[in-house]
Amino acid sequence: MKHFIASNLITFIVFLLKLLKRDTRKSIVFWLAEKIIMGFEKTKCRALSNLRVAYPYNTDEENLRIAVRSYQNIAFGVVECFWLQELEQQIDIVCDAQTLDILSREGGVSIATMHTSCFELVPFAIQHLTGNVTTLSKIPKFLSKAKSIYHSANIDVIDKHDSNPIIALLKASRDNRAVCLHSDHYAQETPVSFFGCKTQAPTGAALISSYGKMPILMCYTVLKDNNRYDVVIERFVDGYVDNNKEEISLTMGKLYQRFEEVIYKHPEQWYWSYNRFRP
Amino acid sequence: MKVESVVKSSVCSLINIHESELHENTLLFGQYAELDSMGVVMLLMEFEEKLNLNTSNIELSAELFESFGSLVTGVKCAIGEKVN
Repeated sequence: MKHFIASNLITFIVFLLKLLKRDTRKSIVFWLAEKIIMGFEKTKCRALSNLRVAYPYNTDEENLRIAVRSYQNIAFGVVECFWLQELEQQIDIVCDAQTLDILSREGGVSIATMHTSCFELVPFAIQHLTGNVTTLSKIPKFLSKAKSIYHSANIDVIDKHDSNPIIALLKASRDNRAVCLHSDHYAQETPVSFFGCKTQAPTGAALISSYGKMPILMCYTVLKDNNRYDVVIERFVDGYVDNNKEEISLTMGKLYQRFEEVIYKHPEQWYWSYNRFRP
Repeated sequence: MKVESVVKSSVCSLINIHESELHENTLLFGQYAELDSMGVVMLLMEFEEKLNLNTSNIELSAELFESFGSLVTGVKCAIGEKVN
């Protein structure tokens, strides 16, 4: 019953937002997001705590400014997932010719993504480029309709709540699909250093590369001042990751170094309010 | 027999138990922390290398990794060996 009410409430809010122009939607979501992060102490403190790790020399005011803007960008990005199709004309793909060449091959590709702005635009953009994308998503139980958003964009989605998503991912890899995996969250799979702190990271992107013998690309989104999105796609491993734990771990370590560089370049795009560094 | 011994040695090495402890009915998936996503991929690629097996021929499913017996059966089917 609780899920039913939440699902219908969200559907109604999205319906109302869709009646408005995109600029107005953005203003409303930005206003609301600021109220949320300033009103919810846990969310604000977590963001500030993470920002102090990355920017130890910033004042709390400077870090709070980044926290608020990143929360606004992420909130707007999440809401925009409800009208992904409308964003087709708002995307600028940023990549080189060799990256496009990898995407045009039929051998599949592993794509490591980050939680920046409208992060679900990554599989959407990759679908447009390859016509053959699979993504893994943790679909909230109260938002089961979310699957239809992916399906209407022709994105094959595997729900993390499904039993044994790894098997489904391996099948996608075997079918030579472009497999998009968020790779910047906490998971007890391999140790990495992130902003100078020891933490744990998922290995999915490297595992898929190793199993499917496919390259790894890194991809993230940036919401620009003109309200258009850059979808940046970079080559990360041109060949494939060797099939041993050390190589998989090493690859994830290097990927995290690159994540750091991207986050330092776009600190207001990454989701800071996440419990990234756990004991 | 070779398939069974290769699968046994690979599984035992991954989950760190003695071969005498692994039987046809020994449950695998969900029972050993080592048999996580990385463990599954490592096993498949070890079979590929040691048995000259194309893992594309394995019918991937959660049931495959349910027990040692089901894993041996799945691998045998993939290489076209007769299953007892």
